[in-house]
Amino acid sequence: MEMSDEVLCQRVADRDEAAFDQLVERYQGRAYRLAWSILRDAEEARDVSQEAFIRLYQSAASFGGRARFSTWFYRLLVNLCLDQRRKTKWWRQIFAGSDGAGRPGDESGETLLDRQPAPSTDPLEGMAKERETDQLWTAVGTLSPQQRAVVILQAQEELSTKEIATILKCSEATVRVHLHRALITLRRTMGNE
Amino acid sequence: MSDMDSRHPETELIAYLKDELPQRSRETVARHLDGCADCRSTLTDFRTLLAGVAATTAPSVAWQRYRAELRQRLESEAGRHRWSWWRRPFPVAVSAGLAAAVLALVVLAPSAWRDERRVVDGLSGFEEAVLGTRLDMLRQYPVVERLDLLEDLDVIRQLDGLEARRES
Repeated sequence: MEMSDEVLCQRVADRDEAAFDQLVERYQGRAYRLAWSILRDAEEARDVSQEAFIRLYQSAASFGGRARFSTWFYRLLVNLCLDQRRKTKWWRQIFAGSDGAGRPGDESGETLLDRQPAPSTDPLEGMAKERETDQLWTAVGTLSPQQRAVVILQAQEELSTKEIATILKCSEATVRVHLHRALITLRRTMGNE
Repeated sequence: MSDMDSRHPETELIAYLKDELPQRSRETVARHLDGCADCRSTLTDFRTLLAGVAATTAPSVAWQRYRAELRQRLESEAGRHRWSWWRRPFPVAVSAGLAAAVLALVVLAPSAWRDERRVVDGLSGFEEAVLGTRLDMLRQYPVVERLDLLEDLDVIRQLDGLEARRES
């Protein structure tokens, strides 16, 4: 029988290397994708997601089991991503400097670097689909880090409002407001309004 | 349509989308959607947008290499923690030295100060005793007063002689 994430985490706290390897294999894809979606940089996503696993190894004993393991781990990961964004923001702004990358009314401080189009999932999808995806990720790039995190946690991980609130350390009402505003912004940017 | 049903649901639309509304509120939003084309369109757009974000995949990763790198980082982190005290001997030595100095100051300084006071008091007592033995000499003060002027060693010898005769 397959062990639950929570049991594996308890074993990691007892320095069970095999349990740690199993958790890494279970979560590596989701962790990397989540980090990449927030950071939009492959190298940073790799580095930050690995850092999240290192923190997991070091602080597994502090997982109390009150929340699901995934919620606890995503919280760790999302915090690292948001910290990373704060750290790299200054040089992104310098790099964007004179080209006027910031759009009017864009308060997120994002630059062209943040707006790299997401890679296409399937080469057969065609140019139109690819353009649409690029446009969507450009729009996602204009959201504030918190709004972006909420949209990604909702869309990709399909987490409940309560879980997202736990991860972002805010109220459920705040999560709903973030998601509502983010979707309204995306809708407007995509020209559907 | 009641007032409640005619109000455009905003954040409730998100909760409706996520199927997180209580039964009664869910029915209210559903009734509103039946009669409001704008909200129906908004809901459809929200669903499409979330599906678009969900459909995106991150760049591919060589997972074996990813795990090997992770293992390497983990080992170097563990090594750093294990040796962190010994890899920084200078700050540790300085801190320990400072702590010892402060401790010595706190423990020894008051007693040394007391001893010093005792020595000062002792010296003045000693001086008093010496002066006491020289009382006779002080009685010859007019002679003593002029000693440095006269620089007459014979007078001093006489004084010593006087004392010797008194003792005998």
